[in-house]
This record gives sequence, structure tokens and C-alpha cells, in this order.
Amino acid sequence: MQNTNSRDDFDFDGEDRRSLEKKAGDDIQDKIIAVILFGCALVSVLTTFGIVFIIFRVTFEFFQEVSFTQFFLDTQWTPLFAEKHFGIWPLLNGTLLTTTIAMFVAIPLGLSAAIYLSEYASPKMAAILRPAVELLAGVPTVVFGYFALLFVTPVLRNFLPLEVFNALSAGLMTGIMVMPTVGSISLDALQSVPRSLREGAYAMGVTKLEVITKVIFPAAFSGIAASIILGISRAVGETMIVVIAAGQQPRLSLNPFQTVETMTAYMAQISGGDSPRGSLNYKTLYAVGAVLLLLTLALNIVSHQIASRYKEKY
Amino acid sequence: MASSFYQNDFQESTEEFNPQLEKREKIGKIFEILFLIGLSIGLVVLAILVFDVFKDGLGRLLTPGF
Repeated sequence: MQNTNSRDDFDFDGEDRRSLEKKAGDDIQDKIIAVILFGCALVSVLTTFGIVFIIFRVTFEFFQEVSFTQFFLDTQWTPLFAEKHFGIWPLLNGTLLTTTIAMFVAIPLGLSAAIYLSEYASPKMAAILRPAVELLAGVPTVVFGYFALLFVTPVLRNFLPLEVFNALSAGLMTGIMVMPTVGSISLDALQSVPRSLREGAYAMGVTKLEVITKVIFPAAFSGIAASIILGISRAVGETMIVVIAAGQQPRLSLNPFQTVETMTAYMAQISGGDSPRGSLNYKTLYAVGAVLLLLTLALNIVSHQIASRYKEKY
Repeated sequence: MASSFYQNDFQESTEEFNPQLEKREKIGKIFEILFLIGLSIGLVVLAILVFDVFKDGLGRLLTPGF
């Protein structure tokens, strides 16, 4: 009541009143938009929780039939054979082997590209080369997979005793696929180092390479480390290249010339529809998925830790 | 005279500094070439990939009745 009186006490002319009413209208619009955006954010969060819940629920059912010892200590993975073994290590070995090969390619090439484009190339040249490198990220992974199988493997077999399906070709092409991710994020990190740091170093009489290695690289380290770990996450989760080029034979071996099977390749194989829903084979899909999820989660946590630990503030 | 005025224990003499600078710049040039090679490898693979896809793909697409 008092409010109404006090409001009436003000002497608004028409324009002020319209302005206030418009402001109130804007407030309501803002609130509606905030609710819609919150809803959008909630959908993605709930979807993530839903995926995690379903994966771990079925994984729990899997571990009621298969012991942790069998899963983590057995060295064979043969859930589709008459004599079943559920040791995750052959699949984990395949994933880590192809990822390691991929990162041996992606880190040097990606960082070289980033350093060259950031420090050496003229702006005109960088404007042409950067999109060309990023074009690699736009190539469908199935094309990389067939390229690895039909071009890279036959070429490498002229020099190396490779099996038709092998970890080396798959790893090399995964590395080429990951290279733009490492390069692009590292380039952004290098370019965000303030010009004053570079100029200060040049004023001390150091060469360009010394500026890069002793000033720019340490200053951009958090971004570079994050790009590498993001690249590892992409390589770990890569499916099509390894399904096509690495084969589907789980093997606990560090020989890159042999056929291996990665976790994602096994999941693609099982999700083809041969295993009846609710069967133990079907549940292995979720158990392997849970390991993959935990692996990428651990990598993301490490990436976040490194980024916050080495973050430079200018 | 001026150079001896600024000379201190931390500075190298010009005779010591100049050859090292040349060496440092040479190393820098080598790394510049290495960085360029790293960048080029990615682009060459992309070029080979595109060439290979078109070489195989165009042959099939140009087949009469395809």
C-alpha cells in the first residue's frame, strides 16, 4: 500500500514512465533468456550425467559376473570366444600404442607448425598456411583410415615387415589427424604472449631461437601442455582410423608392426549388433567404455591442473 | 675507450661475442628450417591424401554408366 502511494507521489511525465516500463520489460526479457540459457546448459549437464549413469550402471552389472581380478590382471581379451577371458590390458595396450605413435608425430609436427607460423612466417604467409594446416582437422577420420590402410601401409611395407593391419600406420595417421589440434591451440598460446616480453628479450641481444626457447615457450607452456593433452585425448578416443587400419586382434604386444585392437575399435565391433542386449558380451561394451571414460577424464583433470599450475598472468 | 668504460665481469669482449653470435644465429637458422619442415610435412600429407583420393575417386566417377 505504502509502495503504491509512494509511486503515485512521483511526478512522471509520459516519456519517463515509458522508459521505466520498457526497462521493466527488458528485465523480464533478460530473465526469460537467462532461464532458456540455463535450460540449455542443464540439458548438456543432464545428458553427461545420464551417459555416465548408464555406463556405470551396466558396468556394475558386468562386475557382478566378472571379477576385478579377471578384468585387471588377466592378459587376454577373448569375450567372444568359447573360452572367455576379460583382461583389459590387450585393449589398453592397443590404445596406448597407437596413441604413443600418434603423439610422436603430432607433438613435433604440431609444435613446429605453431612456432613457425607464430614467430617466423610473415603475416601474409601465416594467413595462407594456417587455414591449410587446419584443413587437416576437417578431413573425415574414415578418409584417414582408408588412406592409412590403402596408401600408408603398402608404402611402409616396402621397407618394414608390417602386417596388413598394424598399429604403426594407424598411429601415424592418427598423429596427422591430431596435429592441427596441437598446432592450432599451441599457436594461440604462443601468440597470446605479450609483445613486450619478446621485445625485452631482443633488447638483451638474444637470437630469435633463444627468444622462442627461453621466453616465449615457457610463457606459453600452460597452453601448449593443454594442447598436447587435448591431442592425447583425441588420439585415445579416435575410432575410425584404428578400426580400419589397426585391425581387431587384441594383443598384449609393443610391436607396432603387428595387428592390435584398441578400446574404441572393440566398442565399434560389439556395437555392430552381433551381441544380444543384456548378454555378458554386451556388458563388456560398457565396461570398456567406463575405462575409456575414466582415462579421458584423468587426462582432462591433468590438463586442467597443468593449465592452472603453469598459467602466466601478464 | 667507451667500450672499456662499460666493460664489466659479466660482459664478453667483442672478440669473444662476435663468433658466438654467428654460431647462435646459425643454430637459429637450422631450427627455422626444421620448424618449416615440420609444417611442410603436414601440408605434404594433406596434398598426397587429396591427390590419392582424387586419383582413385575420379577414375571411378568417370567410368561410363557410373
